[in-house]
Formats: sequence, C-alpha cells, structure tokens
Amino acid sequence: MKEGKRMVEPAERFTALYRQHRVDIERYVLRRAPEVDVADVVAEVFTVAWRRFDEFDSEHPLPWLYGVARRMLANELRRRSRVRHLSERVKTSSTESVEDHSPAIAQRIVFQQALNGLRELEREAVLLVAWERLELREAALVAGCGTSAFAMRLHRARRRLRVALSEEESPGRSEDADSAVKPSSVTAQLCESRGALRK
Amino acid sequence: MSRLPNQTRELAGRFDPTLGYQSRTDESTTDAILCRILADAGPSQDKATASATVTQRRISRRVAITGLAAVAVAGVVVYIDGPGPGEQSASAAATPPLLATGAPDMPGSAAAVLGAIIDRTRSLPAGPAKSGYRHFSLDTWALTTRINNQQVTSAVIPEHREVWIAPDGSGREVRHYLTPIFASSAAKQAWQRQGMPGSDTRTDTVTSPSFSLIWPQAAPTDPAALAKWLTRGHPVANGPAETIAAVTDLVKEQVLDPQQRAALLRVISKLPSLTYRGPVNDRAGRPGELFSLDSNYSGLPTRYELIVDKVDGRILGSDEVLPTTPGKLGVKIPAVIDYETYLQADITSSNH
Repeated sequence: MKEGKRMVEPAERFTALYRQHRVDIERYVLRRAPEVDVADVVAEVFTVAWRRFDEFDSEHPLPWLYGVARRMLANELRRRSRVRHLSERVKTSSTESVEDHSPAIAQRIVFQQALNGLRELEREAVLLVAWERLELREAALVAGCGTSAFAMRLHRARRRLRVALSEEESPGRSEDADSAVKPSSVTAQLCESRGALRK
Repeated sequence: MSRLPNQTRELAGRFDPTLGYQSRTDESTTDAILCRILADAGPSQDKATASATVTQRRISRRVAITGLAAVAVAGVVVYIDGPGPGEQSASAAATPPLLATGAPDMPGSAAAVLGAIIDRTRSLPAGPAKSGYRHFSLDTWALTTRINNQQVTSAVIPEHREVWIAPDGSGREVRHYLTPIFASSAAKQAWQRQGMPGSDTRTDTVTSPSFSLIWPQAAPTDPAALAKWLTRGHPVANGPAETIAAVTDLVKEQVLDPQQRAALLRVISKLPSLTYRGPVNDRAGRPGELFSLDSNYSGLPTRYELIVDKVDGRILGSDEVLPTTPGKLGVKIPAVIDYETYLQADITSSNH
C-alpha cells in the first residue's frame, strides 16, 4: 500500500488542522460574538471537531471547521444569558449619533445597522464571503445548501445591503424600495442577529 | 455569478472587525490546549469503555507525534489521572442530583400522557387580559458557568434571576447567587480555598434599553404554526433537541395562556423519540411529569428533560443530563450539567 493521506494518523491530521486554522476560527468567533471568551469557545470548537473527526471533510477543511464553529457558537450563546451580548452591543451602536464620529466610524455604524437589517441567512452569507473570504462553493457547504441557492441568497443579500447603505447615506433616495430595509425594521430584526448566532 | 464574491467583498470586506487582528495566544498555550483536546476521546473511540491504560498509551503516542512542550505533557498527566467513566473521585465536579422519577401514575406513551395534559390545559379559562411587564422568575445552574471568571467545580451554586420586559422591549434583570451546595466537607474547604466564589450577597441589576427577543410577537395557538414559529433561531437541521431548546427559550420570553401552552405541548408531543419517564418533583418541590429526549447533537450523548405540570400544562423546568459519557467535563455520570427551574411567569404592573 502506498504512503498517502489515509496512512496519516488522525491525531497528526487534526494537529495540522489546528495549527493551520486556529486563528481563522478565532476570527470567526470574534466577528460574531466578540464578548464571549474567545479562547474558551475556540477550544470547544476544536474539541467538538476532534470528537467528530470521523466526519472530517478533508477536501474542504476550513468550511468543515466553520460548520462546527457555527454550531458550537450557537450552543455557547444559548447557554449564556438571553439578554445583552451581540444584539445589545449592536443596538447600542445603532443608537449612536453618526455625526459624533469620524467618517470611518460613522461608516462602520451605518454598515452595522444595514447588516443587522438583513435576514439572518442573508447576513451569514455576506459574512462568509466578505469576511471569511470563502468562495461560493465553500460558503454553500457551511450554509448547508447548494451553490446556486447560496449564490441567489448572496445576490439578494448584497442588493439589500447596498440599498440599505445608500438609503442611510442619502435619506429619501432608494433604488429598490421593496427590498430596502426600513429603519424601523432594524431594531425589530436585531433579535435575528442573535438567532443567526444560534445556528 | 463569478463576480459576486468580489463585489460582496468590495462592499463589506473593509468593515471586517478583525482586519489586522493578531492572536494573543502564545504558542505554548496553544500547544497545551491542543494536548488537552487530543486527550479527550476522539473519533471512533468507545468513550464509555476506554480504560485509563489505553488512554495513557494513546495520549503518550499523541504527545510523541505532536512534540509538545513539557508543560503541556504535565497538563495531560493531570487530566488522565482524573476520574474515569463511572468512577467516583474527589476531583469530580459537583453537580446537582438527578431528578428522581416515581412510578408513572399516568401510564402510556409520551404522546398519550401529554395528550391528557393538553386536553386539561385547553379547558382552562384564559384569565383577564393584562398589560404591563412580562415578569419571569427562575433558578438556573450550569456546569460551565463561571463566577468571577473562575469555574467552580467544588460546589453547585445556582443563580436566581428576575426579569421584567416592558411592552417596548426595554427591560430589567436582577440576579444573585443562591446558597452553595457541597457534596462533602472537603469540597467546601476546596471552595473556601478558591476564595468562596458566589458567596457575596450582592445583587446584580442589568437594565437594558432593549432586550433581544427571539419572538417579539405572541406565540400562535395553532400547533403547526407554532412548530414553524419555534424554528426561528432554532434550525430544524439540529434535530429535535433544538425544539427543546426553543421551548426553554420561549418560556423565558412569553407568558403563555392555556391555549398557547396546549399548542406548545402538542408540538412537544410530536417530537420523535420523546419518552415519558414518570412523575417527579422539580427542584422547587413542585409535582410534575418528566419527559426526555436523547441527542448527540452537542458532541456528547445528552438527555434533554422537560418537567410539565399536569394540572395546567406549564413547563416547570428543564435539565440536561449526560447519561453515559462524561467527555472531558470531569463529572461522574450520569450527571446533570445544566438546569433551569421556571418559578413564575406573569404580567406585572411594575418592574420591581
């Protein structure tokens, strides 16, 4: 029998996976729940990944890990108090006066508001591609859907996000009023950002 | 389609909050963490029967493979010297007692028993409509809870919480720790050496401008609609245990009337592999009926339990139990790892 990937001990493969992608998972957690104990959550993600290493997708290691992280983070946040955390942090940001900040911070607040106005699956689609920098096929694996379905979701999300951002920057102007996120719905949908984290 | 990822990154990439992020975890720490993870039973290992000897050999091999630092090896040795599956050890984390069920006085399947409770609940009057604060009173405990940034394994220290949610979504929460429960005097001494975490009588009050409700609208009374409604933030793909999680979240958000409770019980009754375990007294001493559902979703075989009041259909409490495998949690199995006791859910005129 030839020496090959199958001959490598699972512990060795897992060690390589851990060393290569630990920081990627740290960033994944930080982007979604900066107020949790990131080191603890990352350790838990890899603990679950090790227990489930029989299911490891060696062709798509990072998407597989993100899938584990997604579920792990959901569990972690479910255990925590049902209030505060990301949603509240975002709400606090949402109520800040944009004029009080530098243009960069103001843009970030506007972006966060617009992002929070997306439906949870759409928001996750944007983050997986824009922040985790996954390709469509990889992101679709994490999201648990086909590539075409994911691309449609992302397309829709990007359009909504763009409209919401243009509305914030130019109040009263909308290129797509039907799909725009109304300001009042931003608060109403904040709970979905918690929901997104639970998935 | 091929341009779509780049267009999305152009739009949102610059707002990535981790741009320029540098991990603060040094190499020796990450190696120690890796070592501990590998010490946990991994893929295809029979966790329930693995002997300490086998564990020792397996870990030694992994340590050789990964070439970890001496400090990390020491960490592993400490770990494997801990209690094995089913063993009693002074170092086992303190956990609450399992709920003790009696002989079923409502014999039948879970669906049949719940069916009788549903019928009774549906016949109850709704009571006068009230407006005001949604008020919830509950006791909680979880193995993973940290008190003053430290995990307490020598005592069970439940937390009492009172929550008021105003119609506009603002709210107030008051919480304090309850009296620690020790398994032995040695455990109490260990807790004292740890600085007696949770012993202060301070009450923390949290005032939130807007609570993050999963379900801002009232729960539907149609079971099918309610089942779908519960999937918000609780994906079906996670299996029936996710519905149990949704139920425990819901009863902390909404004051349910009899029709809503009946619909909720109907949704629960349809969960596959739901088991009726018999009558029980909850952790507040109230009589109820215990139902459970097993799932591996969390990564360890876990039993999710719900206590239902057979008189009015209220959810009285929930437990999570590890029935067979402690994983790396350092508990003696079977072990309760999480519980919530729902003491009160009503509408009040003030948030105090």
